[in-house]
Amino acid sequence: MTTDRADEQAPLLRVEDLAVRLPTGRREMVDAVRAVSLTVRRGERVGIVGESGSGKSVTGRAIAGLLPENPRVRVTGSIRFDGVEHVGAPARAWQQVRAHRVGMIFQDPLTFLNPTMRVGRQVREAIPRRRGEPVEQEVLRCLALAGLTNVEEVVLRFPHELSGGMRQRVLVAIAIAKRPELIIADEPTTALDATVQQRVLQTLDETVTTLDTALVLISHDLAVVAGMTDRLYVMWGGRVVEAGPTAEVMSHPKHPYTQALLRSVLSLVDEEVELYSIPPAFRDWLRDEGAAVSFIDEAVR
Amino acid sequence: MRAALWHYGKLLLSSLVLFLVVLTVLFFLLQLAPGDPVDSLIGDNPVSDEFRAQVMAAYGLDRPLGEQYVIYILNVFQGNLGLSFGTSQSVSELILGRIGNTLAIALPAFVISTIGGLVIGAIAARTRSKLLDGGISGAAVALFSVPNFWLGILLIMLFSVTLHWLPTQGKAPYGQEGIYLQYLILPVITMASTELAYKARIMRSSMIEALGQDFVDTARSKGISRRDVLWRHAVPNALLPMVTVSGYSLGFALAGSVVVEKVFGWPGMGLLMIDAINRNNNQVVLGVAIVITLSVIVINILTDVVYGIVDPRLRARFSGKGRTA
Amino acid sequence: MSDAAPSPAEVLAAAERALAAPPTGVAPTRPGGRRRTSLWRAFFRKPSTYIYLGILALMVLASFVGPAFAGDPVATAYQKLLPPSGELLLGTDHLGRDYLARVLQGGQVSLLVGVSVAVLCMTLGLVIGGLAGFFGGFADIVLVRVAEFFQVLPALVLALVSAALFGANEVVIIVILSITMWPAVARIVRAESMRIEQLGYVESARAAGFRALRILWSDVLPNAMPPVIVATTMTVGRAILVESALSYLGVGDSNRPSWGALLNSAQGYLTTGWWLALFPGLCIFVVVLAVNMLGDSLNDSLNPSIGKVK
Repeated sequence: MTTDRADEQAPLLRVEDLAVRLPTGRREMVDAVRAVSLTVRRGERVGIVGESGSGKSVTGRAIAGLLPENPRVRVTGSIRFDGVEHVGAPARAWQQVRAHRVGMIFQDPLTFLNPTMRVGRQVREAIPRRRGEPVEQEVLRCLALAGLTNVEEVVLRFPHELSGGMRQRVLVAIAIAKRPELIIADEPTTALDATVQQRVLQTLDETVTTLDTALVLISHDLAVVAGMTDRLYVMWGGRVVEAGPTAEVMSHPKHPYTQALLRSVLSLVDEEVELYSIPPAFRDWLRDEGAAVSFIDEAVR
Repeated sequence: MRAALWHYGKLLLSSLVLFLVVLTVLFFLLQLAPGDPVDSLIGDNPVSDEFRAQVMAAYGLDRPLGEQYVIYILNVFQGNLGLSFGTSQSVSELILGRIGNTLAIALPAFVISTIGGLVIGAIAARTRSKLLDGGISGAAVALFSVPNFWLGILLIMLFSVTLHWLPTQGKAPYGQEGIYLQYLILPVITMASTELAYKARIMRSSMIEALGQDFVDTARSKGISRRDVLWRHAVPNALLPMVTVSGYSLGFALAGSVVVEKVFGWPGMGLLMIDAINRNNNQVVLGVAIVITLSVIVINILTDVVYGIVDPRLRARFSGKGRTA
Repeated sequence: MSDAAPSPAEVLAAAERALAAPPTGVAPTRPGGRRRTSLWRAFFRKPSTYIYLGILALMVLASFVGPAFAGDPVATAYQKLLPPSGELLLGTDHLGRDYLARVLQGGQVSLLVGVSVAVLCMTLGLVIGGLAGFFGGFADIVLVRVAEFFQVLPALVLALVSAALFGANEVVIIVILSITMWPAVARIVRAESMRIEQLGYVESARAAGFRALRILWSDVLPNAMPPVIVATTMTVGRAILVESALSYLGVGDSNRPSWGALLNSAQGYLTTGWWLALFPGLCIFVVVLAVNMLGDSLNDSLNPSIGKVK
């Protein structure tokens, strides 16, 4: 772990008291995010878990600079990259963030890819102009890194000609093409078939490891997040209700919401229903820590 | 490739059926018209009894209805649209002589209204100024609500009668052949106006919808400039529905050309039809109706083809490329 | 979500729908639910609504009640081609008739035709579109084919052919315009009934044993009304435009000339009587504009797109 380096310099990303208000219709606004604080260090993997409406996606987009381009959108609080404040920064600063620092992987690869543009070109767009290697090679390499085979052919295809899993990998390739320092993955497997989910998660895992990027994994699925993250933030109603190392939060949840979340996952495991999205390692862990499960139940009662 | 053949085969077949249905309806309308069927064909022109008998024989009017129908259909498919009794010219000849003039105003109007509509609609969609957007939308509704023949008359009053910049009627100075440019201007503008407003409205909503699509978020996440996001992602996708809209509106505009031709005394198909109506020269009226219908059908087929080429999702139809697992 | 790209016909229908009824995500709660009445209330609170309705009311009054107070539209009582003045507000025409009286009378045909056609279209559209959307099958096929037919044989052309064969009068025109324009309304009804069918309470009504027709009548159609009303409003405008085009071309009753017919006569006198061409056309424009703006405003109120961000 890079704990030594982390103590010396500002973290890659520090969010403090972030609040986001979004317009919904002619007059009304909604507080999508109320008071969120989180930190991500270089190379770290952080998960944000919560149900729909908890504000986790909006948080992810706020960090990536991808909130709607509507003047009525209000962002308050602090978002600092390497110590540099970005809330209220000019559009150009955020464009730099999007172009070089933060890559985002979206949820539904069918709607998030331009249906009239070839896949290769969509990846190429994400590569910032660099001297040196020809861009074509870079595109192929990104696609390969994202777990695609037969990349020379894939490059020429349109999104509708690929399967769901392949399209998601293209989204991954787009995110990593700029060699970002941070990748935000917003429900990257929710729109996929069960059998494909596992593989894509694995690819994501390997890619992030290879590139040594930081990762913010956003999901409503605790099992998805548990297997891949070092630290965990639990969100509910626009706020972070619990935070800590993943293992810690999973074994000793303090907030009732976390406990409820955990219990619903565990109860499924208890009933011996195969939860396809739980990485095998986690399943083993749950079995081994069986004793801890009953402890939680008692504590809640 | 087979998918393409199948699709276009079906399209051609249904177009053919549609054309036959229109012909049938027209035939029945002709039958339903009050009075002597020969009168319907000859109109007010005084003819001898002999001629009458000739006409009856030629059109098989003395034969049973079923046979008349078959003769009629066969005639149309052979390009025989009957005779104009005023001049004893074949209707097809008459129409062919005039169709060029109609196209001379319809095609430029199409180009202008399409390009204009695209540009104006795009501007309205992407501008952040509510004033500009509202202004353009308002102007579009206003233009759309103006009866285009009145617009034509107003233009004549302004540019011809008052300012003497442009001529009032016709396509060329008296006695001259061909089409002169300054005669073309006002008719084309008049014809393009309503279509332009319509296309601008649709382009605007198409763009707004395209800009709201998810893949625009992906494009933004790559850090590319707002302008590139607009032109490389939003616009191409917004243009797709515009292909269909433009194609269908061209057909609609052909019908509208009848009115514009009357305003400017433009000697095209439409004016031919109007004169024929006034003289009860029903063969010509029907002939023009048939030609217009056929043109619209052909335009629809072409639109379908163009759309199939332009949308990558449909191009698979041609190459037979399916999903690669 | 299907991968198949839409056919051009569907694309066109979708584009028109985007104008008429943008995708909303507004789920009607139940027939006559609170949401619907509040949308209507929003519409009636807008000041612009009353401006447009006011203009239309004025035109209707002027056309149907006005002639009682204005002069005689037929009597050639005055000098020919007098420009507008204090006495004769719209001057006189080429035969010395009071032009104000003529223009006022001209509105009767146009407005009558416009409203009649719209009402007929709405009725036909609701019936056939509802059946097509809800039951599919035969009604659906009929709708699609008829719509196609009138797209290739445009209204104007068919009306001209009919005028040539049967002579022209108001009833024929109303019938023909209604026949050619109802498919557009029906398409919207169909799309709406299909959409509403997907929602929950239709299934529960079915499960409760209500007959399909009853469900269509009491649940589906009332909730389909907003875009239908918008479409019907737009139809009024279109019908008036086509009717005036037809009468401009000489199709119409010469005893009760509509605005279009007045424009036709006016064209011979552009140099000597500019007012002859200006006012009838202006009336058409004002009425159609008010109707279209009303329709747009209705559309904005009744079909709010939530959080529509540019």
